[in-house]
Amino acid sequence: MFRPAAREVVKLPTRFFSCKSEPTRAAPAKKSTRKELAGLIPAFPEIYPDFLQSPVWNRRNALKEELERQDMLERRMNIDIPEFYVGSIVAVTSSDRNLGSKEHRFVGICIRREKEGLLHQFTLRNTIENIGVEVMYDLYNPTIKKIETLKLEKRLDSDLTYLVDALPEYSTFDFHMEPQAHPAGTPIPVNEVKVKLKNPPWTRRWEILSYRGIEDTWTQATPWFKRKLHKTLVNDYEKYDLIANYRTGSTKEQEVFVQEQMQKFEKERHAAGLTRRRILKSAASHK
Amino acid sequence: MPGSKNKSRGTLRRKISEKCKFSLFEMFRSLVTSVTNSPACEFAGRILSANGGHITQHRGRRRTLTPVPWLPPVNEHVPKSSVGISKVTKTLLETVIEKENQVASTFANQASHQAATSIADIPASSRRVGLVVRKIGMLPQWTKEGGRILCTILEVDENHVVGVTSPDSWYKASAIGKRKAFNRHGPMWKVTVGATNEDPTNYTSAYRKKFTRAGVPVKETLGCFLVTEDALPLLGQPLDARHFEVGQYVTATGKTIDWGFQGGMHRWGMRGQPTRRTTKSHRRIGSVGSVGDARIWPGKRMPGHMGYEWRTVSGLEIVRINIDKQVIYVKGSVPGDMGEKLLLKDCLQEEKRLKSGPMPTWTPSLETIEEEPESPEEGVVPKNLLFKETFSPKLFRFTSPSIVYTDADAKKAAGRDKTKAKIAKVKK
Amino acid sequence: MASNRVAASLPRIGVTIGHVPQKLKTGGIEPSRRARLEVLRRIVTRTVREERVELKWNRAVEARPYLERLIQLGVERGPLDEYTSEMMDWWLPEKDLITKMHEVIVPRFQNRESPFTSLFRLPPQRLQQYIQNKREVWKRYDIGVLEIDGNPFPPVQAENQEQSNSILDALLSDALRNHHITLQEKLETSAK
Repeated sequence: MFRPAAREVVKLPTRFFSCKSEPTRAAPAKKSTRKELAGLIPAFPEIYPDFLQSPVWNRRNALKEELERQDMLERRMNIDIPEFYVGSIVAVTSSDRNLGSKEHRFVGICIRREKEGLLHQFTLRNTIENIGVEVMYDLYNPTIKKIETLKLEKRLDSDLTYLVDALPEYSTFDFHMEPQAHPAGTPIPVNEVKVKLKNPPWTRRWEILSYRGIEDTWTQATPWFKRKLHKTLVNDYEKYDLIANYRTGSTKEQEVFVQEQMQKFEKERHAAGLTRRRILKSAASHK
Repeated sequence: MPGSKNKSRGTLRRKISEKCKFSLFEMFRSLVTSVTNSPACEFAGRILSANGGHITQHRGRRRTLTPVPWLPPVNEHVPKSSVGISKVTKTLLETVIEKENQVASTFANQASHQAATSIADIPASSRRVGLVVRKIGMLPQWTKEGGRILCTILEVDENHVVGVTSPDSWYKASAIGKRKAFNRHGPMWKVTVGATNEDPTNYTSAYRKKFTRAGVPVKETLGCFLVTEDALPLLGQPLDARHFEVGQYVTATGKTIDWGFQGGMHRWGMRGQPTRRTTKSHRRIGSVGSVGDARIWPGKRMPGHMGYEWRTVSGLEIVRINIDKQVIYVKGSVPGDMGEKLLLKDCLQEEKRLKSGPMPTWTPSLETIEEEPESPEEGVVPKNLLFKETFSPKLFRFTSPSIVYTDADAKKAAGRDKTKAKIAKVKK
Repeated sequence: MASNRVAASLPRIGVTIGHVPQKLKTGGIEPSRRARLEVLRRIVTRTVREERVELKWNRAVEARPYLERLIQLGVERGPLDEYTSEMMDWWLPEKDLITKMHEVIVPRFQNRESPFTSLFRLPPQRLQQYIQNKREVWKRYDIGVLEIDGNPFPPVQAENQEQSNSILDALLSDALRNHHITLQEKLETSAK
């Protein structure tokens, strides 16, 4: 019996799956193709954490954010708020009615940036006469006269609260430090220094928190806490909860919207001939 | 048999769908026809009521989570998928609803132009109407001295007067009227104010009639205010945020945050019990009474439902009003969560009372056109770039430069002059 | 306690997300937040393999945004991204599914926007739980069908029938049209 040479059929090098795909029946096409919008900053949430939405969904209100943004932008037209990150060295000059010179300048490393909108706060830390000093500033407080970034850099973490428990040399900065210029268009340098902590007791259990900027916390931890570890609720799997992340984070659409609003505001003010100050800018971008 | 069963089920389904269609048709018909003068319905489940600042002791339940059973329902429950109307008719219906709202709003606005109003002295005996506002957030603002004040921002969302009831008819109509219409402050009118336009197809015809009678769009929330006859607004009149003035004090009434069932530590601030050397009683309330009596005293603080109660905060200062967006900035905090509705009215304390203002309420005829300066100063932001706003004189404006202190400021803050002896002042 | 930002922001997810994460019955695993994620992982894995699955309604609602986000990561970032590959490794423990995700599902949604999945409700089912002393215990379940769009199966939902020729519709549209005209007239007279 004659059979056709079925075995000689060449298999295509594609993979075989049980389901074939029908893209035409899938989701609607995107309104705007995925291109980089002109003048928008990719690292917007890092540079402008104050323009993000509240992490509590209940408190997100478009009208409230619009009014708040208006006030923030007006303030930014009157004072130059430079780009700085957690880990940058910042100098703040603020008015103080009770000082002879009527103003006060504080230099320190930015260890925290928290809250959104007009409530946004940042904390500077320095060691003065062997005493650690932390000063928390409201970014939009009108008594602030000047904010300078002396050294623009990042650290391995976006929260440096652990400097409280670190050796004082890690948070000692010269008040008469010369500002270091950041060459425009180059990426922000990351200072990969790993700090050494003092001996316990610590304000928090740094050995179980996943901070990259601390050197070898486990050997320094007290035996009591080491013994406690098995009783501690370790929730390292929570980083896989994609939606928990989404609930508190910001979306691309919102960031693009806010940046467009900022650009519009700038353009209006420039057209009115009031100022040439630019609000939306980034040291790492090429422009 | 199975066939017949199926058949009967089919007819039943058809009947149900016809019924649905009929009810929907009824709804539409009442939408498009004029309204008869049927007696007024009370919607106590939805109407927020506020009395004129009396303190009355309420016995009984603190809160009801369901509306009273004897009142007509407010929300229409029509299974929309069961109704067979085409897409064209649906869009037509939407345009008609939009048009109706537009007509109602224009007529109400025109009527309010003709309403008599003036900036006048407000006698201590008169009570003005209030506004139904939505709490949309809290923001810090700064004073010109550099002090920080935390403000609540309240949105006045399309407020209209929905009903005006005279004290006589209110007294006859309801038990609440018996208590409040003729009180120690004299005869009081009940003025119902509605806020936030809503899709009328979500509501029953009985609820919608209330708004058609007043000639205003259907509203989501209603609130009642006690008003004296000299400060009576017109029926269907729109209310503006400028009803209140910057610098005046207001009273906010609303429901507090609903926390649900909470323990004694959260609900009453009890201390709880030690974390160690005790088992299963770390957050418990402890002893509830003595032995001899063998009972629990009424009013003993215990775990239970926390929040969702009517609370009033008075003496809140208005520091800023955004006229374009109809938003009021109030110094301090008000009851309730974000997005909740509140009643806002004039403060009644003698020293915080509004002495002179728009009576009975603000209307567009009171609008004064400010004269533009001939040559705008250098460095001043032109007005067309800013919102139309009124500020308290003590408030820092974000358009102005940073605050700089002089020696005079320091002296002001220094208090007593310490070079001189401390001598008590003798009252004369 | 913010450590590093895990990812730059992505577009919003186009499906309903409840205001709090729901507790799910975990069937055998000790109930915890970890167990909840495990249950969701099973559902996501099964959906990626089968493309259309029948589930209890509440589980389908809860799992859908996770599936959406995973597809979105693939679409926006591509297989080479570190964060994406970490998430894919955890959410799809069967390795052939990661390949399927990148080669079959993600190409479907290139230049398309969320939602990438559909959820339909089926009639509730009564299922027998157990028999106790000759007493049968039944329970009612709401059932949902979760599917990835663009699958080759026949559609779940029939096309909507246009009922424009019904008498109700004709009468209603006529009445509405007349009413619209009167309203317009009213507006015009008031403008004068």
